[in-house]
Amino acid sequence: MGTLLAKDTPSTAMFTRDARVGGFDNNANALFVSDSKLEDYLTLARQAAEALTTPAQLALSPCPPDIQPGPCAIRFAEALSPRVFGRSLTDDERQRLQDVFQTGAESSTFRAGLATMLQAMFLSPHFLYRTELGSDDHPGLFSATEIASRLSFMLTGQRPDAELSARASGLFDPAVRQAEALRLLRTEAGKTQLRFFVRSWLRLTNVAMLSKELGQHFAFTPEVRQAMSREIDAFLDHVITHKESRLDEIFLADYGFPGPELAETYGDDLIKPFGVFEQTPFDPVRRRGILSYPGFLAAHAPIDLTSPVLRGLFVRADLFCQDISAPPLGVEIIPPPPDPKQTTRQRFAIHAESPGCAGCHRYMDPIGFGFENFDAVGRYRTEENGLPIDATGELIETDVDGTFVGPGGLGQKLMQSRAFARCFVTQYVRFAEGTAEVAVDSCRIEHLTNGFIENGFRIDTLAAAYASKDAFTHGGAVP
Amino acid sequence: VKRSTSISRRRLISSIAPVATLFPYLSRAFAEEIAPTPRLILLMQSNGTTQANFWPTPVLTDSKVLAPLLDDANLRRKTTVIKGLFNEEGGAGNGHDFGFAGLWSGYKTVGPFHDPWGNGPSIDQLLKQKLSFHEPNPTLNCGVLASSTAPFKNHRTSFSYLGPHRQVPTETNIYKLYTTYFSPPIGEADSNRATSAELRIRQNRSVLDYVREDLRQLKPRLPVSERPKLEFHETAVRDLEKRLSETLAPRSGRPDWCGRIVTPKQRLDVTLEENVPLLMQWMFDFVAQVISCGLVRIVTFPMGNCGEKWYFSWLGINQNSHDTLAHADNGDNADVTAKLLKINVWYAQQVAALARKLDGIPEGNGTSLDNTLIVWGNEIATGPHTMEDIPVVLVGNGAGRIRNTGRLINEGRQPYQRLGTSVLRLMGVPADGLGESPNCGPLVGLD
Repeated sequence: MGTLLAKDTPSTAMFTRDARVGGFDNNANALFVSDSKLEDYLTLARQAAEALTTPAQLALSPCPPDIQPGPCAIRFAEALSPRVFGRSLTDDERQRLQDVFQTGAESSTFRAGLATMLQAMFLSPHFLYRTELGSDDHPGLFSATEIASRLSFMLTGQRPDAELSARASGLFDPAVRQAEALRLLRTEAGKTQLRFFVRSWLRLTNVAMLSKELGQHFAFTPEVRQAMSREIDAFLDHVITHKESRLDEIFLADYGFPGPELAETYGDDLIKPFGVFEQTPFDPVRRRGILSYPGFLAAHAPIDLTSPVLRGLFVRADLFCQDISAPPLGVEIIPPPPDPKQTTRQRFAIHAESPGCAGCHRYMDPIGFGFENFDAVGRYRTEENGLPIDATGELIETDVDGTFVGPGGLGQKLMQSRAFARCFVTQYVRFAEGTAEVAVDSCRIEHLTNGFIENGFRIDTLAAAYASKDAFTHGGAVP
Repeated sequence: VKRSTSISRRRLISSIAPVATLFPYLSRAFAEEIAPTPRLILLMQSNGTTQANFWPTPVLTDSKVLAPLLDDANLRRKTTVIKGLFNEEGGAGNGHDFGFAGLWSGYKTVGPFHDPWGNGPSIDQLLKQKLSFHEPNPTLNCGVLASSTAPFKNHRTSFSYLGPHRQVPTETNIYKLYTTYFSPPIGEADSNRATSAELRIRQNRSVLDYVREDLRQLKPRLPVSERPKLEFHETAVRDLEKRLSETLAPRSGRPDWCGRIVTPKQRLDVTLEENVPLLMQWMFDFVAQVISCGLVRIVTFPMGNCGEKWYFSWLGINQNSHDTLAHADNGDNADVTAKLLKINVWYAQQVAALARKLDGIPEGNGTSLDNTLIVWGNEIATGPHTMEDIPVVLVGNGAGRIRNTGRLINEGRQPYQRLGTSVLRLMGVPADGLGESPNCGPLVGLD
């Protein structure tokens, strides 16, 4: 809706929130028009309709004096239809919209009739849903406008812009789709969408709302957590704009974008005094890549202490796309209690010692130990409770098994791992298709992964390659 | 080559500007005397309770936690406490998740450990399908979720489900609710305003007719698997039309004050944790109003997010009540026990206040509470995630359908699905079980 109206767009701030299944909020199975959603839409549609029918707006496209109000209203609807429905009106729609106009104008004004008619258009399932029904002109394929819509929503989260709509008929050509995809990715909306995808995938959408409790040792104020969140945005913007949106840059960059609120968090980890969310080199021994950003480390830790289990589970599930079965019934899922005489690694050793726990925890805890140089708010540390920290992590049952030290070391392992690349591609496709039902081992994921690695881990190229596949116009799982 | 036909909802783009449009919701329910159909309010508390301080005697005395409710002899007489419910099925996530998404659906959570979701319809939605309603709004899912911390997992904001993963969002904006349900006030005398409201109703109905016809034409073009989505949409359109068809005229049998309800004047940020006490009070005022004015039959209400981390600054506690208090509730730390008692007593005060509001509204020969059943449940039994003896309190007798109130039911261990089964039956829907336990039967001891 925002893209239809240049400014003064109605608000969705009061909307109830959509479910965020699998980290992504566009899961087609989970979303539906509930009672409160429909009311939200009704209200929003009315506001949008009124905003489009102000006297000033109407003065821009006056009806000739010899035309009746009804047909005049339909002219208005026809002019708007390509932007609302991505096509012209059908005869049936024309007739029904005129009826709505008459009801709206009855005992009221022409403008009220027009607004009521537009409200109906904005509430139509043809506007509210992205319908993919195919067309009679191209049997077995989506229609040109449907392909344009797919492409645009995937890459920008919005409906097609004028340029894309104008080229819709050419989108059956893979090269045109690829070129349009790369163009859309360079728009502001395209960058925002890519950033949103990365943040959703890495479970970083809540950083500005985290809760921490480190007593008097550290004040985790709203300013601090908001700065952590802003730093992640600044970093992702930088990678997308200046580093060809390369995944290896996201995981291996040796710099951050700290704000002054993070001075205490970073301590001595930065090479020079830093400005306000500007690129600042890290001490490379301590930090490297997004996995060492305070916002990431804080988001993947409980409120006061670190949890090797949570950090390890995240790496397994979201970075390697591996399933870890749920803990057995009857196990109280509460970590070993804090112990002032032990390090976290020592405290969690009980998981490895107990055969009942080790079966699963050996897949998680040893990865999480690799993050132990960072506390629950992402501060670097070499000691815990007066004892030296061993931040050696270990990966097993991956294609890059072995030990590593710190998030930077893990990042290097990940960038050598085909399984990680394949998981990343899978996550992107899940996001693009709005469904969690994408098998990580399918042929098309393999194919896309090959290209992704050959092209130097460029996410923009991956997105364009995905759009250029035949399957994109068929919608089926075609390699 | 297989073509998959699908449909997915757009994410609308947000921007900032106040929402001002309103349309009236007016009640038709009062053409006849309110029939003694029980109304239902399902409340969910998070983080369990301290068992030693919770359970009262068989005649509902001597519970430290429940004192605000049970020290009032009138409310005690109308209260039933149920001991012995357990949930040992597990699911995705931990006990908070099992209970929050499971207590009212009977289903185990599904998904990965860190991203669990409910896996079946909750009883409010089952009731909506199976009963017929004279209220314009069969169900309402609202609550207080203001929190300085984000919910730890994404599903943790609502326990009302249409089906697997299909969560009904929780409405937390008290101003929007008042605008939707009571603006302009029912029975608004101003004839100009009534005329313009009637015109708006006609306009909205013609818009919804248009949408309904679009949906009707679209449906056969979709594969069967995609049709339920349009059916939800059609139902929402039908319900909204029904609400819009309510007239402005005052009706007999409706309390006069229903026509004078106005939005709270004071502006509060409905997302700020410090506002929780006022929001809870206002939201419960609102619930009592829509229930007693016959605008809603069934309310689902999360009192905070699942696994809520409120700091309870209004009780002088100021620490993360989930991670540092509930988790540490092992009986070996007097400070923790004392703070949790304060917190749990606060919840009981809120429930007592809601019950008292309803009980202060005369209805037929009794009060609004007498025609209502409040069920105050908890996602979990204790802070350390145990699932034995989940604390559950019923207030009101559901229009006389529970005969023996004022007592503790303690008939040994019972699967938690029996609670939902009993509630379905009390509401008039025959059921032998719920969710994963289709044959568990109703609660033993409730009569």
